[in-house]
Amino acid sequence: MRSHFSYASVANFREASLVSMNLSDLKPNEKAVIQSISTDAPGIERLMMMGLVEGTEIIFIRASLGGDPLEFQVYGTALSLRKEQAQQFEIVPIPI
Amino acid sequence: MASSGEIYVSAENLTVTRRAERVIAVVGNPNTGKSTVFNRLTGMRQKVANYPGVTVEKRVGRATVGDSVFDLVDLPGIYGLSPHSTDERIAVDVLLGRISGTPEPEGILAVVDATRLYQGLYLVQQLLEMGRPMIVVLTMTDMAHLEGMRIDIEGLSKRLGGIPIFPVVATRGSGFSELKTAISKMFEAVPFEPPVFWPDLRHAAEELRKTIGEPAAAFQVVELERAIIDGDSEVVESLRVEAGDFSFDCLSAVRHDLCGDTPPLAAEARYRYTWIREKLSDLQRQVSPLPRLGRAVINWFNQPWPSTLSFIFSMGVVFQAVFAWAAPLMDMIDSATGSLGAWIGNVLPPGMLSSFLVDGIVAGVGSVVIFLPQIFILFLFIILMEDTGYLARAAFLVDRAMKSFGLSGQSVVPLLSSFACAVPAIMATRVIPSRRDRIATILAAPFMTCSARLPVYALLIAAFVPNTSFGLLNLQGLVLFGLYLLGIVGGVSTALLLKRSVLQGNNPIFMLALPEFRFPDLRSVVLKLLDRARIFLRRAGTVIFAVAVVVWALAYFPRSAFIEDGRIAAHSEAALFLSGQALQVELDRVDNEAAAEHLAQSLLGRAGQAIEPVFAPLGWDWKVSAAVIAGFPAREVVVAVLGTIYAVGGQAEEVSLAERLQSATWPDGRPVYSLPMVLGLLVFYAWCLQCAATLAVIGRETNSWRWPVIAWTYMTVLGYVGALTIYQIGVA
Repeated sequence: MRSHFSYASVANFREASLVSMNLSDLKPNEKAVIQSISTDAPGIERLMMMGLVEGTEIIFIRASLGGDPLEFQVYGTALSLRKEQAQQFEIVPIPI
Repeated sequence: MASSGEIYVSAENLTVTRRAERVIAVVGNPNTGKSTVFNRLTGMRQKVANYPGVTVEKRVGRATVGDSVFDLVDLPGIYGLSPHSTDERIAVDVLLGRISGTPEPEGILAVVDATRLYQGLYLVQQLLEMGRPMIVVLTMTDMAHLEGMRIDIEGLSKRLGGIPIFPVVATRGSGFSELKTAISKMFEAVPFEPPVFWPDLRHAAEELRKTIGEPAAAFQVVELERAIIDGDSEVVESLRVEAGDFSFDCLSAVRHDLCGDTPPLAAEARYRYTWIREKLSDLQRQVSPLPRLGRAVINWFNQPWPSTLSFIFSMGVVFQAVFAWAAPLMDMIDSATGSLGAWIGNVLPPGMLSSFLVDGIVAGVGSVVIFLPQIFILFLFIILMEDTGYLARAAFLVDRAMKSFGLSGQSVVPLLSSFACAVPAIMATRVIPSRRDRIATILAAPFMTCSARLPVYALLIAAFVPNTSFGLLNLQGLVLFGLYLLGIVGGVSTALLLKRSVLQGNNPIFMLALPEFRFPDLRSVVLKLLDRARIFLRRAGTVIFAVAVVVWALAYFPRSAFIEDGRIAAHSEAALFLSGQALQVELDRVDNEAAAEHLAQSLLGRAGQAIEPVFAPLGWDWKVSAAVIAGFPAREVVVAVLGTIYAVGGQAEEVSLAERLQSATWPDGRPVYSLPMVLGLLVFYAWCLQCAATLAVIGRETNSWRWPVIAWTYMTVLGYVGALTIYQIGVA
């Protein structure tokens, strides 16, 4: 498939942070851009239909009681995921 | 309810006068205010039924704009045209005209939430490509404004190929007159060239049509596109039948050309969202949101600890309200049915007809109808929780706990709605993707205290739990709360047991959109509440009425001439020796004794005595046993049966059922309703599955007769053992 998005700005952050991060590594109110997705994991396609695709900005809001599930905000929607699924999304944090 | 310009027409009349009107589908993401828009446009002129073969609700309503009349279909919420659950499948199938009895919609009303514009536009892209007349309704524009979102509606309309977009505030009704005018003209407009957002997909579909030829030409382009993306089984199967495996190879080939090795759905999501971001992002500006006290408060309350505490607190309020607020209304209904019975008793001569009306119908149906205020309050709270988005928050809150029972937060919504009724709750389990988790949730749902248990609990608690308070807490409310806990414990342990044994599987997936807290639309709340009240009263008028009649007949026949002669003889004898007050007392005593003897030798009495040994270890006499047996088809019937039994066997004066239960005794004078017996009876009701409708829906949703049998046997045994244990401990 052809690439339809530019990774240029994303790549700069990537160099800065050598360790790869996923959605479950964010701290409350931190923002990030989704960089790559393990599309084969169960339930991921549906999340992509809701807008969690490469290049999407996502904010981690808070964890529930006991640290799981996690609440994110994507395109104005609050969305709840478990850690297992959040780990399928590799991200690049956006410095605040 | 009906505001000016709307005329109330009952749903039944709609079918009679039905003409072939143009059908418009109301489509949108979940929680966009879609139903509020639908309610605004159709008023009370709605009809709710089920789609054939499934238990998904089909809402159809009629909208009149000027001289034109349209039929609106409110479809279940979807994120895109690739369905993941039965509800979504129905929405897509209706759009494609595949549901018999529902004509293919000629026009589309796409409802988009302005605060979640991108997700709405994903769906709008797909809908526009279907090439039907369409209007976009932009809801929540007031909220978006408060959030600091500025949307260039005109620009958006242009980039989407000139599609009309109407901003509305559904809850206040602003923007609707313009919208209605646009709807009336939507089929007159010049047919526009529908934009194609993902040309590669369109080419792939056309390629498919070219290579397969005739068999593929029978399908709409959008159907072929869906077949390429998510392997739409209807199209794929039909092509395989008509064109053989060749069609399958063609499908794989075009799919591979389009997406490579990426799952097609992922490729589609990537493409369309990237398009939206690149082509439309300049039309949406973000200014700093207005500071709102409300948002700060809600944010604070959504923190784990405050939300847990507020959840427990609001549950407590519900249980207190069910008892405290309903009491005056219940007293009114009670005295009304009492006076009605007394009035009939006075007007009619004593005998069979009088007994049938007073003891059978008024006592039987009346004893259930009295719980209407409590049902009303319970549903009011549940509907409010649903419509404010609180239910989804609760799911988020308890997901971690549910995980330890092998379930997910997705089971929470069905389990919480189970507190109203297990039947819609079991249908709501369809959102759970894994079959094992779904079955575990289905078997846990009937344990939750449904509104039909409430009459039984309320009757026994009001009669046998003292109405004392400890500070703010009322003892009766506490006992009720305890019974709800008992149901929860039974349900989750059952789920855990199942997940640890026959339903072992992976950790379930949990994902849930958490809707913003919003003030519920009063109109929708009232409509839903009336709907619930109607269902309850209809049951009281049909099932419970029928059972009351049958139970009355069983309790009345056969009439023993011997007892009747004895009663008359005793009357004449008493008249010889006594007079005045003393005579009246003696006559009443004789009458009551005869009534009790009649009841004991009636068909019901004999049947009850025959099964009494089964329930004797629980401390139940034959009357309770008979009522419990009669309650297996529908548990609230028990109250009606007790009402009838104690009315047939008791005095005709105005005595409440609770008082009659309190004075019921064994032949040796001990009270039947001792504390251990009552507690045991309550536990029995908490755990026993006495509901034919639930069993039927379990059968239908699991597609097997085995699960209803297992559920029924398991819960009945559990209820019996629970009641037995408590009674035996209490007596010992």
